Amino acid sequence: MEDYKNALGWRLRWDALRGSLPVLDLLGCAALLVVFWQYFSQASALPQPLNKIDIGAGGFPTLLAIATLIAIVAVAVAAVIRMLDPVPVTWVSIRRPFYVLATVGLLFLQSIYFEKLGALPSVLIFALLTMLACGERRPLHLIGVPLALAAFIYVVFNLALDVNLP
Amino acid sequence: MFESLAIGFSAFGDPMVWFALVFGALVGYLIGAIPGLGPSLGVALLIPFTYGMDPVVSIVGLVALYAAAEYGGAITAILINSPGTAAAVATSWDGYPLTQQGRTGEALTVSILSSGAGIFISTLFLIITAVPLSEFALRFGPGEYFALALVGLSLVAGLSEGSPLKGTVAMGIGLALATIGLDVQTGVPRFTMGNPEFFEGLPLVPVLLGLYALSEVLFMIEDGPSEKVKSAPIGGLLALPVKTIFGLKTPIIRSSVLGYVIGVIPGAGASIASFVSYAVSKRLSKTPEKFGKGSLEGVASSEAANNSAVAGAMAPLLALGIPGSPTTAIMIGALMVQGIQPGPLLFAKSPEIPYTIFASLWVGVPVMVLIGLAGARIWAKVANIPRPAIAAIVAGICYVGAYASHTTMFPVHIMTAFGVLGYILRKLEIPLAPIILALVLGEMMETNFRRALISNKGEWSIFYTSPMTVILIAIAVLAFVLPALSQLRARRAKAKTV
Repeated sequence: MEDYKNALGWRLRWDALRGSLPVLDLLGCAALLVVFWQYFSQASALPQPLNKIDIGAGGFPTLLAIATLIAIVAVAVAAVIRMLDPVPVTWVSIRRPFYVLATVGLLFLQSIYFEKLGALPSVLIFALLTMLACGERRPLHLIGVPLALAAFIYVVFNLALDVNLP
Repeated sequence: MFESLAIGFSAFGDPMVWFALVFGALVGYLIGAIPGLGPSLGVALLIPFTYGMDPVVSIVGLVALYAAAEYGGAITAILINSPGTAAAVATSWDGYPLTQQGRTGEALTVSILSSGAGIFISTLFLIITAVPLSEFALRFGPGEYFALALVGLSLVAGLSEGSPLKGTVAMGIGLALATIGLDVQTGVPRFTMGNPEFFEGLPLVPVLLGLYALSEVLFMIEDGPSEKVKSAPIGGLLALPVKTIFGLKTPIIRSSVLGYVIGVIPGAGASIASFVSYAVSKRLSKTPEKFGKGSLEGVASSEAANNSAVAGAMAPLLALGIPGSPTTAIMIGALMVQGIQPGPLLFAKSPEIPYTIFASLWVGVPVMVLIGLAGARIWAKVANIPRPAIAAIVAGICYVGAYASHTTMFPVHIMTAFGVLGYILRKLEIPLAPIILALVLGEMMETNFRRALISNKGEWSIFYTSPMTVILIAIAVLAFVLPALSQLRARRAKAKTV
């Protein structure tokens, strides 16, 4: 039992980040509670209906927020019960966490620079970086795939579908 | 009906429709054969290519992709014991042992022919049931429509993998996202953070691309570079005696009917259809001991069922506007891009769309079988496409596709945000299917909820006085409660053994 309790929480190794699902559930529930509480507050502040028989713009979202907040609390309670339960917890692992984090950064960078760089140059650069993050090291692949992808996108979207890409 | 069906078949007079069918089937096989990529991701990725296309052409391509992707998963399941899709897991139980016995050709031939038969038979059921279902649904009032949408969502939330409670939270997230934008009835901006770009609501295609495709890129990064897999040589394709194929007719027909029925239930899908059909066939087989050791009956049952579930999932989509699977939910997005709203009125307003889908499912059978058999050796090699290349291609198409949806940067930012959100949600085992379904059905649900109240002078009794509404709401509650109770029971039993 003691070992099991020690197992709850986090483990960080160079190649994997691991956390127990109930702990992660609680963190997720905390984040969702904040979001849906905000949602509830904004829904309640929406203008009242013009006539008595309607529930107005905020009626449905308010009901939805209450129902979802109850469901979130239920998930949190279930997570606590699982932590106290003798049944072994499920572990969630993120393998190659630094590469995953780097790719998340790359994705946001691509969304910022997509228009500034232009669609095809940004696809070329970010395809190469994505492949590197995914572990590709063969130079021919690193050059060939982004080039082929950019050519495919140009032919299909620019020429065939007539989409004005930046 | 026959007249409308003739309209559906007449669409194939256009060479572009044939091109879409073959292209969709080829891409479907490719996506299905790559482990990790499934029909949902395939349909989401194909949507950007349908911008500006004729609706009929784009729908034929998407339907062909959906059907072929369900089959494509079987190829790698048989050859390398690595199912391309979850629905092909049961196929690998007998398909791979057949490969180990040097009977790869037999396994592939049976799987392809069973898939074709499954789609053919289930499409017949689809035609017979979808039209009366849509005519019945025309009698529904707003209260019934609200309850119907609730049933669809509850079934998907309750039957989704993991906890039904998390499915409910996912449903809440999706419905909340659907309320972003101007209120349809009063024009009041809701949850827009003062940004006018949110006034029209969240753009559906970028959200789909983010949740289903871009999040998958992050999973590929986690997996790292793929190792080369060696597949067994393929020999004896079509060398199977006709008598052997004919001898499989009973499990094929039975699994096709079962697959269709299971496919109709929102949330059940192709995976459950193939597992149930496999189990039923094993129980009713004269040689149950062969199952799991290389039974052609097992391969036929699993493949006929998972492919017939494709047509099954189309029934609630076309007749009621309620998607039966995540892939059909994404397909609703594709139809909306073309300005088509699925539901009972679709058969009255644009009969060419549903009947072309029926026709394309039938016409697609010989095309799919031909491509499947002729390209078996190529599909076997698809699993060896390096994962980094797939990740780069998927990400590249996502960005260009999101931009092309509105030719502005707003959808690109939305897609990126939902890509990361999708990854986090999947890690927390919060299912994505209820989010997509709720996002698609949210507006319809709210509008009908409010209409029902207004039509009943603000009295809530409308939700418990109409017998149909009561039945539907009861189904919705049971759809959530029953899986939750069975999960609780299973957990208690597990706790006792620890």
